[in-house]
Amino acid sequence: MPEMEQRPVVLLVDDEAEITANLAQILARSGFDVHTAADGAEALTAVTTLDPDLVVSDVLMPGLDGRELLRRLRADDRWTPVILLTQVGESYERAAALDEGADDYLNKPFDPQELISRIRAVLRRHRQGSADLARRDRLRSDGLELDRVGRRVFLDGTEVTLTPRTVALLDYLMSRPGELHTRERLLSSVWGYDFPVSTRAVDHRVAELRRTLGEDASQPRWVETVQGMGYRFCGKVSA
Amino acid sequence: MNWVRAFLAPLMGVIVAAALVLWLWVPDLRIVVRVGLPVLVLWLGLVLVAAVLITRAVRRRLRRAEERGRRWALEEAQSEHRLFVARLDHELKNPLAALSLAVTNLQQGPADPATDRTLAGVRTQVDRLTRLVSDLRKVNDLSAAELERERVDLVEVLREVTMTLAEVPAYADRSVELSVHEAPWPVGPVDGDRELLFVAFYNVVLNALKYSTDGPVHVHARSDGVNVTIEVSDTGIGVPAADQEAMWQELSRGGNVGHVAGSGLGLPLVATIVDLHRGSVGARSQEGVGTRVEVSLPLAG
Repeated sequence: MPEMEQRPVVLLVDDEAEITANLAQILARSGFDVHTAADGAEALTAVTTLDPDLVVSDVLMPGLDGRELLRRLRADDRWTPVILLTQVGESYERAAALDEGADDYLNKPFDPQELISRIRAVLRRHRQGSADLARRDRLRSDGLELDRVGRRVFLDGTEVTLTPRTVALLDYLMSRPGELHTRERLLSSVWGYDFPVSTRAVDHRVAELRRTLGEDASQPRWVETVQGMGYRFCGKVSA
Repeated sequence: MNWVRAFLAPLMGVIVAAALVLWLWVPDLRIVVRVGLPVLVLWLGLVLVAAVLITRAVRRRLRRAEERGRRWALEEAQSEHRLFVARLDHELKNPLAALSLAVTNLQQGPADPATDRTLAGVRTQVDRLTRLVSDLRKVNDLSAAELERERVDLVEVLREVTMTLAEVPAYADRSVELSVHEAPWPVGPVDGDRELLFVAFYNVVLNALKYSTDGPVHVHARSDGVNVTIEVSDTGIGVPAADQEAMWQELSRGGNVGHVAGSGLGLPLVATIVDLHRGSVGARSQEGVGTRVEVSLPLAG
């Protein structure tokens, strides 16, 4: 049997039964083998017995919350991909979620289709083995170096100056090489808010990045424009 | 005013004492007049100056304390408001997420035209509520936001705003005319958060288009060497005089907006963003004639 035929096992963690029940059915229809847990403690046990391919967890839960669940998993050296469903202090939550080793996050209430596409992207990243790039402190690609902790960028060993948002965009693209990201997706993930900011904001930052790196848009070494779709990091990335 | 107490008061004491001694011990009237009188006049003068200085200082202190009190009360009210919205947001998000998922789940179930229609209606309302909650949250989050500052070319931002709105099908046949006064002062860059400034001007121009049916919307940029001022004027329905003061407040909508959809959060968002940039906003409007919104931002130093 080819691997594609296997239904990925997803563990869904939320204390709100209405949410897990409905979401479980929606995910099952999209081809996932869904199991649910009502809190972090239950989820910890389920992760050991089920060994799921991915965990989708709420953050705020009584007892062991989503963050603590994530911390305990990582402390146990379990790198099962986790998508957090956040709901407080959006920008703060986002940074904290990714810092603590979540693979992605989504703000409540969310569009289930968006969750499904993120689950697929995270699973793909893990299958390709590029998932751990998101956990490295330094990323390199063809003369370009990103110090993720210091938020600094070097080109052939010389530091270049970029605005913080452009560094964040480069970070997002570079830690997910080969993946196509729509402008809308980049706005909500990198900018962290869904104001009616024009998707031109993304183009503006990509232009800044190319200008600073001296990149030719028609023959990109790093960031490729996918006509009518979005952007993709096309360089080969190593940690 | 410590120096008054520390230095002037003892000095005055010494001068008065010396004058009294001179006056009593020296019987010669001429000396009394020549020395005592000037000393007395000097002393009175010093007392007057000190009194004026002290009154001024006390007044200034009172004024500052009053201002501090007012500012503190305002900040207190704002932070209480923020906390309330954050709690509301938090309490609403879970039920909204559950509702939204339940509707999606039902919509994916077996098709039945009548049920589907009802569900589509519920979906619209759930989405509307979700948008409202998240917009309310946005204004709230923004008022405490940390700006990502850089040099921003406002004319470029305004051009992006007009191009973005030209792509909205509802306004495809409307014209937005952008003009820039380059003399006597050119419109220079401002220090600010480019994306947020875009959001602010997008909302102002969007409002101008939304609340007018025809006629061009004029966007005009000028500078006086200190500030950049952007004027956005339309020939729309205007804002009734009674609603003009409240138009910058959350969830407030004009009494004449009728069926034009809106959340009442656009202008508060604009006001919050401009405030974060130490700028000012204002509007002048005549009902049935049009509205002019003016945003001023300090030029980059």
